Amino acid sequence: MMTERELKMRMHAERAPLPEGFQTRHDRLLRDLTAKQRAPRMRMKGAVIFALALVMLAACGAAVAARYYGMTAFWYDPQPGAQELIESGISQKGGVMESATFTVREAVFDGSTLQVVMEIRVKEGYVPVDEFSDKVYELYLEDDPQRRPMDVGIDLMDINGGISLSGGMSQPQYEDDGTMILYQYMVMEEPVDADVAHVKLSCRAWPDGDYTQMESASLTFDIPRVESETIRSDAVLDMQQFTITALEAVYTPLRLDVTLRYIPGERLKHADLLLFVLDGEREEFSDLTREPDGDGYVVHLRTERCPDTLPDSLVIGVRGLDCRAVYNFADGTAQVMNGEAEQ
Amino acid sequence: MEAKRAKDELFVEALTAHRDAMYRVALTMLRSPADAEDAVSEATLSAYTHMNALRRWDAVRPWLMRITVNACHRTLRGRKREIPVESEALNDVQEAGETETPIWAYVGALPEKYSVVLQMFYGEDMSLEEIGRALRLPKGTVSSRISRGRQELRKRMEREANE
Repeated sequence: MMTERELKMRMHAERAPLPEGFQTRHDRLLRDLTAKQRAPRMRMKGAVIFALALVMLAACGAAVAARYYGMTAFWYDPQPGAQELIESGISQKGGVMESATFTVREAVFDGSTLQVVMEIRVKEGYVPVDEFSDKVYELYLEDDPQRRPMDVGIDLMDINGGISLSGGMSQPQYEDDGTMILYQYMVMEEPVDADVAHVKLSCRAWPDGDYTQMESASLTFDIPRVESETIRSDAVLDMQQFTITALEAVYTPLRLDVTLRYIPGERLKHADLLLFVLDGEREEFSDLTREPDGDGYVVHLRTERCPDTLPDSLVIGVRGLDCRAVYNFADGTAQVMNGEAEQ
Repeated sequence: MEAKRAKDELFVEALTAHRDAMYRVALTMLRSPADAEDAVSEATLSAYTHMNALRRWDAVRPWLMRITVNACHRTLRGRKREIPVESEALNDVQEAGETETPIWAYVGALPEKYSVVLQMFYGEDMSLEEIGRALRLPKGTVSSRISRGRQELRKRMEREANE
């Protein structure tokens, strides 16, 4: 059995080879980027990398021109009807400090995820920044020592008095007046059933990277839960080395989640099953959480690209195993390919 | 102008030092040498456009890795995926007639949540804190993913050895 030290040695000794010419092409990209005014010149017509450079800089220019950011600005592929679900003009309490003011611009809640677009303004002489941000307001920070950074952040404290997050992401943008627009996407470990969510956030700001000067304030607001479409199957499916006992698919124009319960066989009792779920578009879901549940586990998965409607079918499989569970919601059947099924 | 030149020099130095590692992480995520190189190019552009966000050049590595991971996620979102997910890089190795699968191909075949942390920790010698900053994960989560990823890697390698 390979030790940790052996693993490290092998990963150093057996590194993936670089493509031929990779470093030369990258050197050329660096030269073009840093030459004159940042915009690279097209030297080789049809060259993929340089064409990509122009496309990227054009995209950055387009983002700069569009200086108002609502929720949809942060969505990659919104479905028709999704925009109508966004709440704006939300009444809030709190979020005001001496160093910064936080205002909820838009939000949407579907019971499983909370998405918030937050306006963040900081006091004179500072620019709001996110510590791990890929972007910065260049006009304010570049060559302007009078402007100093104010780190800002928000955390979800609770929804209706209790919550636990399983994950999330955030992305900042800037508008013409220096306001930071911070988009946060938060995933709950357990869905919230209530029709209205009472949300409590913690807002934080600290100047010059100095945590000892941090200010914080709570911010609360209410938001209705988006209605969802749910379909369930209690079919017991023998997948040879584990048994699926229940499946639930929950759909809104914002997301498609699948929750699966299974009981592992003896051989897989302590294994992490590398589940995959495919809808009709062959979009693969990624697993969010896996929790013990009696003699089995409950797995919660989500697709990154939300379909237009609840799919007619789902295929469940495990990497390394041949059999597949096929759920057909149109005719209400569930079957195992290469196995027996009972319903 | 002097300030810009100095920044540009720091930028070039940082990208030159870390581009190979960025490529290997991108290859781990995208499993395609061409896509990985494109992701590194996209990350380089993004890093240059936003390098004023970096206030400490000694923390540049996790920052560049974060940008690379973002670029890879954009590629993955735009990509249709078929099952089973075959590794192009692994196929290249097999077509080249190599009898023993290299370790990086095994790592690349793991789920992303394991493959990326293993590549960063064992392949690029990043610390738990650096990996946490790059992936926006708590150190404990990074540590547990490394541990579980290592177990999964061993299982797969043993399975192949026994075949």
